[in-house]
Amino acid sequence: MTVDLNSGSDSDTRAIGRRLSGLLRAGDVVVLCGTLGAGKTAFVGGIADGLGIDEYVTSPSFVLMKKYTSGFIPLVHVDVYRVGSLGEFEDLDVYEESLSSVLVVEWGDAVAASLPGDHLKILIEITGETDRRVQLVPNGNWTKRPLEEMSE
Amino acid sequence: MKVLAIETATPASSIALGDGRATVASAKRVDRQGHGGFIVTAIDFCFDQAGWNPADLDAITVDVGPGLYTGIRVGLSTAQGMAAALGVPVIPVRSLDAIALRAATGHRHIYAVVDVRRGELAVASYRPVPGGVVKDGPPEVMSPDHLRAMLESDAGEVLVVGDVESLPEATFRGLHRVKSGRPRYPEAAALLDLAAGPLQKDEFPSPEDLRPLYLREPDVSIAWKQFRQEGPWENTASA
Repeated sequence: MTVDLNSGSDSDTRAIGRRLSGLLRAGDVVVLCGTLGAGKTAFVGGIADGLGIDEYVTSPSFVLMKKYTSGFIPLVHVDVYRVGSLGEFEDLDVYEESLSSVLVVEWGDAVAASLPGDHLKILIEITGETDRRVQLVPNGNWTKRPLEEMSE
Repeated sequence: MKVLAIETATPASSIALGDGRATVASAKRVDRQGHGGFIVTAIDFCFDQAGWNPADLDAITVDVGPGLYTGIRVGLSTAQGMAAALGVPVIPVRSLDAIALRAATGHRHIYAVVDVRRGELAVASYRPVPGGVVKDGPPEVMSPDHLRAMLESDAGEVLVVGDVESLPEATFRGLHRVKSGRPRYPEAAALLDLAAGPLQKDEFPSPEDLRPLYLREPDVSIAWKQFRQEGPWENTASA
């Protein structure tokens, strides 16, 4: 079941990420989609807060992959924005890193063929100056997870 | 002939030094993600134990896969770096060959398997011959179900070696002619044996031409135009 949420600001988007973190377990894969400025990094910052990570989350666009280990579960934050091919993505060995972490892949739909079928896809759409639509789309075994908790 | 063997293609990393007749020093560690932290310390340790210097080496042999991507690259880049500094050749060896070589059987048809992630395996089959094994064909990537079908259609006695424990239990259920056995992972000492032949015949590629053997699908460019207006990110460094 797809869950639709509205965000009126960056801090709203962050709060949605924080709420989602309560559903996340080690080994989970979250695919994050949205244009530049949609609030992807704020969303991941919220997930990090919720996982008890005390480091400041910044965009991994330049370094491709960042790992935060100060929380309850390690968070691996990947951005494939600068990646040119599936082979380059697989070279990052994200799979190995993700086995014991929560893996969030920005622009992950571009490398969907190299990601597990069991993942949660999140689409952040710009609907106004600060308004965003945040859509949570479960795939694979995520369809059996209690996503409806997110809309309460 | 002094040879350094670097094995980091699977969760079991190992280093060995051989003098052409025997293994004179070795070190081993099992950790899916620990290759980088192990390798240099282990090489130092082995040189120390053997009383050799890196400058004594005549060759390096390294496992180029298939196996864990990061592990393979850690091993291969270390081998290439040392080879460049020392001016020695690098002999590439395959993980499946190293596993099959140590399979303990005199007559069974050997299937070596390596877990290549995402529920798939790299598989190659071998026949035992006096003093070693002979490969039937090139390795293939397949699902556990496909492996089961292959084993079912094999009319002879079979021994499956390698990372059998990573397979679903049902893979071997009811297959009475099939036994599974050791080794689970390749070891550096086996690389020394596999490298001996090519080294004697002077048959090896230039170290800088070596690439990891992932056995994955041919690489596919990302069609960025489908995902964002501005298309692919331009690599200004090469412009």
